[in-house]
Amino acid sequence: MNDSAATPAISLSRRQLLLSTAIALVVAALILVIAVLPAEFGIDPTGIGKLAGLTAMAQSEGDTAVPAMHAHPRKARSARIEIHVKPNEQLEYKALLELGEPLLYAWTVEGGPVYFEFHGEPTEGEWPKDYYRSYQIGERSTAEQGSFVAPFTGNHGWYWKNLSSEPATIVLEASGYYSRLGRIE
Amino acid sequence: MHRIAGGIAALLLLATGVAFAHNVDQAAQQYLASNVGAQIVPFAYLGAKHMVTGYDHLLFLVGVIFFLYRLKDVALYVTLFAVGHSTTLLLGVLGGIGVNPFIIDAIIGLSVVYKAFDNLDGFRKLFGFEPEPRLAVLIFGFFHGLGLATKLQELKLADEGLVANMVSFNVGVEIGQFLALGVILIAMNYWRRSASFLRHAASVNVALMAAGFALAGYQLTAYAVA
Repeated sequence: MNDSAATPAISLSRRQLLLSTAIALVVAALILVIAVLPAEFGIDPTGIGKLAGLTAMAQSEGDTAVPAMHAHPRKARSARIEIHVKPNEQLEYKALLELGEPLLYAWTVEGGPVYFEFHGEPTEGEWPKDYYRSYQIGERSTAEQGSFVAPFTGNHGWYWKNLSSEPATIVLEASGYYSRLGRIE
Repeated sequence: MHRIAGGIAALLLLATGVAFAHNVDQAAQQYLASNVGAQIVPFAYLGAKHMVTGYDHLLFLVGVIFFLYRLKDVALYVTLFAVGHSTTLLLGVLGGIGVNPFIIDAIIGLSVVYKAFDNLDGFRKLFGFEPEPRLAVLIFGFFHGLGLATKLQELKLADEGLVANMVSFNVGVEIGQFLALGVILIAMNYWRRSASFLRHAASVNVALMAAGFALAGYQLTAYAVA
């Protein structure tokens, strides 16, 4: 394809070639270290990124779409629930949340471990049949905690499967602006 | 995501731009995830858009056709690339094979380096052999298809019409490829006719190499940080 006999190819000496490659590497490294790493990841070995205000970009990433505060007409709900799980049993436990509403959660397993998938199913709007969105999967877990903001109105929560042949108890603590929290049959 | 605030425009452009390379963008993701059944044209459009806006791929194209003068060779290249990425895209999605997208994008960055180095005749001069360019394009096609397959699987597409949608996405990738190639070819042919072509050919390829290294470094850092 690149028939160098027929096409006027570039003719560099070995020295020029090595030098060219070295220049390309140095330029790439400079661009990465001075601009890309500070701006994208907040990694700033030279300090130039901070001076130029690039590291701030890495920190503010994702902030733009979410307002800092979010007032509510009612108080948040919270609950502490003990869920008894039989050996190898699987179940789903979910919170009904409107689009944009937050949930703080923490759960621990006495016994287990469990396989889990944190996911959500829309309850209104136009969606394909059986659509769900997966947020997090854990192959073997005994505790998870975090915060969550519903990307759409629907039931958001966990599928759990007890991986042990002993009964287990999942202690779920949740608080947030859910209107229902419970087991999905 | 990011907005360029002026200032050190050129560097910033690169820094902000890389983030968009080869992402099937957000709105498209939502669309893909919430579609039902076979949707030929939308998927073809997304495939074409992915190609035309994926500038790491465009850089590779510039490298590949830098010294391709005959249309026959260009057609051969397109075919080989199509065979490569179609194979792994379809097999990947249907077989559930996924590879880390950062690694794939790093490889795509390195493929730009490879092609630019090849244009400089570096392999023959430094190592005494030249890798078969047709094979390289085919292998690059494999990697590219694997990256696409991984991204499409993350969207959890509905099973209904999956194959039809995959095929139309693939056809769209081809169309986008042709469009991008057309523009690059016109620009390259125009440039080739001017006396400056050979004078600047070496430096342009060194710049391509630098861009490829930067892309690969960016993706590898993203992989290490993630």
